[in-house]
Amino acid sequence: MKKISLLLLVALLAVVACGPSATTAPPSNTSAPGANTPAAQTTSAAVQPSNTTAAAGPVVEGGTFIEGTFADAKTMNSILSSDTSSSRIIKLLGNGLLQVNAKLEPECDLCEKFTVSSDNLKITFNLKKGVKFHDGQELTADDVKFTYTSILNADNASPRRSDLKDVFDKPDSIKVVDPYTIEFNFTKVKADTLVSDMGYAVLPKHVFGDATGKAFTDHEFNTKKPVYTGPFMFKEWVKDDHLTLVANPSYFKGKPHLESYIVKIIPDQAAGFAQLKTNEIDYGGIQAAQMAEAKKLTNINAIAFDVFNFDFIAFNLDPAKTMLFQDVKVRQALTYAVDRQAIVDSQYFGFATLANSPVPKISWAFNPNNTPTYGYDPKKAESLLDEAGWKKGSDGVRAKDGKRLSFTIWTNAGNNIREAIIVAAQQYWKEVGAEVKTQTEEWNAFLKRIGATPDGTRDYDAFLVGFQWGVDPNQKTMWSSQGGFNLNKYSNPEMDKLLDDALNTLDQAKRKELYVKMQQIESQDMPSIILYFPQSTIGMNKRVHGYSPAPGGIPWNNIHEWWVDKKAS
Amino acid sequence: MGKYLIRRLIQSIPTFLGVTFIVFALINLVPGGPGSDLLLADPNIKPEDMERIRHSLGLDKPWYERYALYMGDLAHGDLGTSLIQRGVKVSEMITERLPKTLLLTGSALLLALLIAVPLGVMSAVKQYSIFDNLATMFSTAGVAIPSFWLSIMMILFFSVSLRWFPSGGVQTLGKDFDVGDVIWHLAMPAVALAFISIASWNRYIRASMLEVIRQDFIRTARAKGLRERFVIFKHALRNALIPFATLLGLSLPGLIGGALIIERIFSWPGIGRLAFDAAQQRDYPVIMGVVMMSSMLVILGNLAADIAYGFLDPRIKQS
Repeated sequence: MKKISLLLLVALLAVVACGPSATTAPPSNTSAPGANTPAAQTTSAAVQPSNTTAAAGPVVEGGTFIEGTFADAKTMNSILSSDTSSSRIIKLLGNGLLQVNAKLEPECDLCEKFTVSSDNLKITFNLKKGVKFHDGQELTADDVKFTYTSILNADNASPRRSDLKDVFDKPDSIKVVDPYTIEFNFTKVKADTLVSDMGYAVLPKHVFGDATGKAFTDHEFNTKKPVYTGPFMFKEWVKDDHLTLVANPSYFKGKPHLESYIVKIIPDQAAGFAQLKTNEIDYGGIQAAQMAEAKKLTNINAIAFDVFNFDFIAFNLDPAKTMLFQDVKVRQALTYAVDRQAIVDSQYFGFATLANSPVPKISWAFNPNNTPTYGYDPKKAESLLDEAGWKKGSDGVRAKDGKRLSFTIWTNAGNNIREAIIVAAQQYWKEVGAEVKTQTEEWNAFLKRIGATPDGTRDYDAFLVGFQWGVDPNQKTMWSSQGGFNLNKYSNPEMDKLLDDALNTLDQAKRKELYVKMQQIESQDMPSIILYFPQSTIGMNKRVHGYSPAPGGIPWNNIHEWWVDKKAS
Repeated sequence: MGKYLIRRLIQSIPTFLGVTFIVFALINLVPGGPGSDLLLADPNIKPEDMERIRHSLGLDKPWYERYALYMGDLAHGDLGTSLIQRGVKVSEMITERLPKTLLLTGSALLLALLIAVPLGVMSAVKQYSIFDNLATMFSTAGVAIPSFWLSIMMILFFSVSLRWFPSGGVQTLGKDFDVGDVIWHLAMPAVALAFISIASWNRYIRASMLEVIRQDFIRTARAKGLRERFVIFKHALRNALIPFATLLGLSLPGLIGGALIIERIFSWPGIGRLAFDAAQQRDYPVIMGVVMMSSMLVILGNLAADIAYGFLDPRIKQS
């Protein structure tokens, strides 16, 4: 008896003893909501020409591709989706009129060709013929019209409605000319429409029938029986575990080589990285801190992409809340005072690009020569604060008219990178004479505080959060005084006009000119410090072939051409 | 006995209603709501889109009005639908995950009992022996080690280095269902979960046993010339288990909700994760569904512990 018990004990102790001998991974808590803005993984552009499409043997038919992701999808309805995980599934299931190609330009997906009228107010799409839904019905212009009228129907709760309702406000705004031709008649020019609005996967009218309101939002299509035209068909969705798609044999671009595509939910990022190592998943995100280790692995390609995400610090410009940041010199000084490069190096290990303008460098509107630039310059920060009348007191804290340069900066709790950054900023600002307190708050409470929710209070001095742009450089939401994401009440009439003008033409050269000006005004006014654009860092198993990292990131557009070597198990 | 059961169940109804009211009020009074981060999701989404979506979810009504509506539906046995995965029934979401959670927590419980009880008994019988000291060491370490750390270490060692076990999930994806495959996936999370219980339970059993084996009836049993094994397991253990039964009964609801960390790290799609995600996303009907289920389990767990006393100690009569 004693012997057996001892053996048992030894076996149990082995579990403890073995632990420390393995390599340690940091416990991951960055997958809290808001840790990554939702588009973190989709909108990506390759910056490194990659060796991932190295010559391989002949194409192998069949096989299963497994993607690991930390969040489950919410819906498979293209016009209700607003999160990355859902959008990925929908991209595999369906097709829109247009898609964004590797150069981040619009190109035909379901259409044969599209024509824009000379006044930019009419876009005509000629649809491909013989495109079949997964249930065998042919896709026609009526389905396209149904998709867009469903967005415009206020009862359907599509988050896309407000963007379109002002341009498609007439009965014949969306007009079916014949089964393969559809016209979009705009009330006013909408410059970003090709990349922003024409990519929604087309819904089958015959499945939804007359469904509107609750019948539409709760339709079994959305979570149980999606029917689209895309390369993969829905098979099963075990919530929080995995979602399985199988090849569509009659896909109009050709039957996919892959037999099935599985999206596996792995909420813990350290566990996700472990599954990349063990070949349990073929594709998944990697934290920047683990990229050095990932690059040494022989079974995966570790790839970094520039993306449209960024983190920023906003100063409250609402005089009713605080008068501290009304003087532009204070905002500029606080920007000069922060060593953003040091932050990027310590938190992202180089896998982030310092922002020199609110436009990411992968955008066609990016101006590499934007001025003023804000290198780390505490001396300049001090002299700007002196000029603004903030004089250092005996305790090292600046004051003006008896008011101390003292404020609080907030960020969302649980995001360890952001938490580290506000503490670093606190130190940098202390050096130039600002007394700063740091506060973190639960995600929902934080959103309410910064005014991102309808009942928002805007009770803050400054906050740090992340956001991401779309492919189009339209940044009205953040810099226009009417912008929906203008959370700190920035207002500059010149900026307002310029942003409106830039949306009134499809002439890219003219738009670029305006957006170059926008970048310059933003850098001058500094309503928010755009800190950096973090890269998206991913691992792809070397058994995967046919994908090509392009300046637009790994495009899923050609997923039907991907193939995998048989799994060595 | 039957009467007793019925009385206890009737007594629990007001408790249950109180729980629904308090939880509904609390989750609706904290900031946020479904889609509260919508503005951050896409630069083309505007505040009016959020308002419209909140309206379509009925969230523009005051919470007490929604509580009345909710309880009305509940009276008809309708738990409502998710506000995040719209159209999916809450009852379906729970029943989909419950078997997986029960499989994980049930096997962990069984494993923990099978190891903790003999370990505790042996420690008590051989008090201050090398075995006892080792067991004490193990327990101290076991209680001190956070489960997320242990889980990650197990993954690194047994999955990444040795490749003995898969690092997550319920079954090998893309293959047909196979019991052996599920057990293979279950092994690590179940051991990780059991580990914590083993560490603390064996201390309870040890303490409880030590108290019992010094009592007169044990001496009497030995004096009668009964075999030692019989004395320990038949006479002593049975009595030592009575306080432990309470502990076990109270840990039943923990079996459902307490596996969150293990479920997250081992990508196990169970109730713990459902509740956690629902709470973060403010999916009110789902939170309510899970809370009601676990409050029922607390009530039933207590009842079960009371009934277990009767079996373990014939002197305790329920009336």
